[in-house]
Amino acid sequence: MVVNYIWEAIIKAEQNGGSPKDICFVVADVYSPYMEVNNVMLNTRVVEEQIEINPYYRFYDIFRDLFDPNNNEHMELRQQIFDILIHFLADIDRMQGMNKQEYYSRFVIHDMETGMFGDSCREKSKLFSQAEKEVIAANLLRLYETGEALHLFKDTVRKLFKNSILYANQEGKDELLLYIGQTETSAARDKLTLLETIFLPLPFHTEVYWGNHFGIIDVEETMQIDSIALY
Amino acid sequence: MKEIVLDRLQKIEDLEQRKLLKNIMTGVFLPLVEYQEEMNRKLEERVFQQVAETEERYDIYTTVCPRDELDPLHEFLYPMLQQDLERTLPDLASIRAGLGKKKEVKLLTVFLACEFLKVRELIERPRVFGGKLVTTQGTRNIQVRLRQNRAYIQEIEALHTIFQQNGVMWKTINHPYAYKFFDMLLISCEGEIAEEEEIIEISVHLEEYEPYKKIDMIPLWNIECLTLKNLGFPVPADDRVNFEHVLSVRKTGTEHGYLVDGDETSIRYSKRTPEEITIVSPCEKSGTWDVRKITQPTQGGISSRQAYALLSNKKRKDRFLDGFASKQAAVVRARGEIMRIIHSFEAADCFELTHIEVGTMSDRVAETYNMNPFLLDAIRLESEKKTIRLHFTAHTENHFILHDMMSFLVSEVQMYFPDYKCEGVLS
Repeated sequence: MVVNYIWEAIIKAEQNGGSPKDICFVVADVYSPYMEVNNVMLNTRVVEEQIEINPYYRFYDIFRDLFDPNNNEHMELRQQIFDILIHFLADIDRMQGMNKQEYYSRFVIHDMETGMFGDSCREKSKLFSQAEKEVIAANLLRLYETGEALHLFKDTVRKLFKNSILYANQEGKDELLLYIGQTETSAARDKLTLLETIFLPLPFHTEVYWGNHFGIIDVEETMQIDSIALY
Repeated sequence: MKEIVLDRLQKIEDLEQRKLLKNIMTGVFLPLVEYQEEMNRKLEERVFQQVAETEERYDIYTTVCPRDELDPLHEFLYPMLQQDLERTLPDLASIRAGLGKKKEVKLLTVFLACEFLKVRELIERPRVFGGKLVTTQGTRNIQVRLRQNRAYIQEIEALHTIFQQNGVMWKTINHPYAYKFFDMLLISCEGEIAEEEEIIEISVHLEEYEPYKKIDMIPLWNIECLTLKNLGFPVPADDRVNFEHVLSVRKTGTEHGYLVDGDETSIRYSKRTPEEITIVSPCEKSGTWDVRKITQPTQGGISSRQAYALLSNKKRKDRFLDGFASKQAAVVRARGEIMRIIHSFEAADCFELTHIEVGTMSDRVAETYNMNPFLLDAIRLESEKKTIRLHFTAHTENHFILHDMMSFLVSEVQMYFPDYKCEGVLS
């Protein structure tokens, strides 16, 4: 996560729970002509409060006159104007990648959070992080486009529960066996319930195994004494 | 952005420079920022509008009101049946003729403001009630039977046919009141009725139903029958010649829904543009057409107070996925889909869907009824269907139309899941 552009710095700060207000952009005294953000440490992983940038990397036309070396009046004013303008440009930058799909996923997340699937789902949707919500929203859109409910259920569970394995019962029963490779917590259970509600086709039901996998003959990993769940 | 500007202004220590910055900011920069934010918001709105549902022109609003309180100039509510406007007492001649032939004669129509479960008892087990017939010659004891009045239900079914003819997607009509009307049928009357008598009063005591009895009630909805005149020009369609009859809706309002009512021999199809309805018909002569206008309420009008709640089958407008789902061909059959369908209606506000049972399960006394009995599933056998049982809790208590509102929501789910038998349970 090397910060290369001004908008990246702001998005990173927001993801770390900060506010764009706390970042202050200044013109670097010494900078590389090939980079916009001029970190003191080239590979730093933290977003500094004061970020030195090269304003001429992308915005030469805008800033070419602001910091004329022959003019040293009103330095404080010019510095603050610069900071505000960079924030404004970063805001414009952030709209660059917006397209229909991005808006759709934003709308879907909003729908979920305002109770499209009822009050209990609204409560449960608060448990997910922004990134997880985006995974759900993307698959939800795909669900209505393709109707592949079972596939998308598996896909979402796999993405949100890292060590999970899904089995389908082949005996003609509409049953799914889910092995979620983590300990059972009420938050995790609620999350899973929400996914089942949204994606699982009506006749299906699930058997969930949390910490321990059920034993499968001939698969050595699942046959450890004291850690076998029964099916 | 504003916050950043305020913050940075604070940071400048030189007051002269701070003033300069403040001037620049308030003069040019902040309006620029606001403009940019406004534009972004508008863009988002445009993207949203592309998928938002547009069929709100056909939302049906319903209620019921006493005949004396009927507002003939109401902006959007009209009686379901025109003949309700006149108060009619049965004439004695027909009563005499009916009694003579041992036929039941309809005396009155009553509205029972009680919940569905009580109404159903009355439909399933017909009861006989006693009453009094007061005429100019004296008072007589009479006996009457109650039978559900199906005139309004038939009117809803007729509307469904018109929706079909016009190619507009059907949404269940949320009209709980229409199912609570009963006809009083005269079974017997004490003594002979002379020819010159006139009815002064009819009174019937409905025993435990007495508190719910309301006479002279009229069900209303926002559908007005219009006749519009037109001009028609013939247009060839390959080897056929049809006539395009154009009706202008500029005068009657372009924001409303219009449905052309007529039989299929005279109407091939109709098209709607914002300002016109074009009826394509083999009829050469221009003339008048029967049109149902579905008036949508406008904001800010003065409406008279209503004793009974105004209901509708309106959908929420702020949901993205509802519009998106309706534009996709794929059918989604998850529990969440049922929840989405239910919560897409404003009528679902007083309910919470707690859980959904699916499978073959033991029968229980139904608490809901199908509001679209005319939508038949011609493929599957009713008896082989699995059941979807929807468990609701209600936020409001003791509302006499609660079970009917639930029936409305369940009937909508039923349309999406024809291979299941849907029912609702209130817990």
